[in-house]
Amino acid sequence: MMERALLRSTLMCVCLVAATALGTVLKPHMVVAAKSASIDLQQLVPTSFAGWKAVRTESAGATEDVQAEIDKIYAQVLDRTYIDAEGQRVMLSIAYGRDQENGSQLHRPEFCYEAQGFQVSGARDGTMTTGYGEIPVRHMIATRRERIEPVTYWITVGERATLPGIGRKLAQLSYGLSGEVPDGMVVRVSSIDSDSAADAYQLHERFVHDLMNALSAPGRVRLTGGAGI
Amino acid sequence: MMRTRLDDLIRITMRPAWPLFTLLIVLMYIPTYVKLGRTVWQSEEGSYGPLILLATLFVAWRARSRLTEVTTASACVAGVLLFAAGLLCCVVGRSQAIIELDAGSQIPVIAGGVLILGGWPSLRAMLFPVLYLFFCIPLPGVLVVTMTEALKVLASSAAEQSLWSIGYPVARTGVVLLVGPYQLLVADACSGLNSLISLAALGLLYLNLVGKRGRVRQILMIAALVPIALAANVVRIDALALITFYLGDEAGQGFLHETAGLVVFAVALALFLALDRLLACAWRPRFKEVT
Repeated sequence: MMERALLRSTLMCVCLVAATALGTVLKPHMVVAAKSASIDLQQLVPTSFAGWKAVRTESAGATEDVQAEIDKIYAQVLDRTYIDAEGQRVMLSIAYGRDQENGSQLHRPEFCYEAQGFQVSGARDGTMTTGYGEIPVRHMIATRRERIEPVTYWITVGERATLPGIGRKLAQLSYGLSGEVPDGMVVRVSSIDSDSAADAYQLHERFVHDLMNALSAPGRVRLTGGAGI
Repeated sequence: MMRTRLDDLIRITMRPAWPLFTLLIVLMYIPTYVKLGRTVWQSEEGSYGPLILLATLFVAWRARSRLTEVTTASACVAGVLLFAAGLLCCVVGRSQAIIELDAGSQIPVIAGGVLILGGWPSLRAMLFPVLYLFFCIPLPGVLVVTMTEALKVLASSAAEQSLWSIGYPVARTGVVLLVGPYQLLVADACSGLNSLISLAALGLLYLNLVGKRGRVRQILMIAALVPIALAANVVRIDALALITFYLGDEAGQGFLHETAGLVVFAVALALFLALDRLLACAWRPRFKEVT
């Protein structure tokens, strides 16, 4: 009886120590981005395709502290405005981060917009069909005074397209448990449209569809996570 | 004869089992608390964290004499299950940097460990401090967002109705209150989620420290925590709306904003204590008439 109590307690102590050690040892440390080919967003995304043409615009107007935060988190950021033959404007913003550890986790566009004084409403999740498969996307409407900006975005974790929340956490977990630190992206498409968010989302879908056709296969994989596309 | 001598020897060896277990747990969770201290506790929403930890340690220390001697009890199966599940959570949470899982694992690890060492009587002694650790777990973002949203709508509509009923020109669209010429946004910080959690933590601690209350009375007190906290928050929003109405926007956003929050929290706490007094009167044994 007494021996068993002693044995039990000793075993328990050993388990405590072992768990603490395991928790440290199992931390993922293999940065995926370090072993795959480095990317150059400016080169990867063409400036004109399928009637869309990138136009020079004044900066989107990130406030100074927001810009500092952006620089800290992301390895690369691409910001462009495209315009098509009919004069429709679409803003494309891609932010790439090399690793998704705590400090440098991708920020949700919701927070980015709010940090710059926008009100975010009407968030809902959907999917976007491209010629290469479906991408899970989140739609939302960012509003600042008269500016009404429907937004469509998705994120990637390593080679998976997903959305913030449980999906992202699970994707990170599945990389992390195999010891890998995935890279990630936020791909955001938006337009200024005060009439109909549904029309705007359709425009975004057309834009993404065209963009996917214009990208090289590796580029497509990078932007969409590649799984299934 | 041999048998008892050996048992005695083991019993002596086992004497420091509880302190040793405590020490190991503390060592094991130091990294978790360091991380909490660097992140969650720095934010306004999590700033009460260190106080929770102190309170937990204090309550556990008070309850230590009720732990049974290590050798007597055994609740092995339940204990081992809880303990193992807790360790798994800890390993995954720690290595994958999921702080909620990491911090949350304390509860099953400690509960399981206490069960293995001292059985159910010991766990019963430590139940309050162990469960109190729930307040140390940072709430997952999704939960915070949903609760904040719901509470905001509730609070602003209650504030609108209460101000309207005492004759103020007030209207509301969503979480924006229009008071006279002013527009007040009921922001996330005004949802009352923080004061709800703080009041719950303080109230439960109070009930534990004063002890003996009787089950019905205790349940009544716990049930009263939520409405008191919610009502207090509505009063706070009302007060801020009135300050803005009479003194202007700047007054409403200035130091009065903070002060109103503190005052109203104090009032909520006072209400809770008053309810305890009131219930004490109701529960007082009536004098029997002696002839």
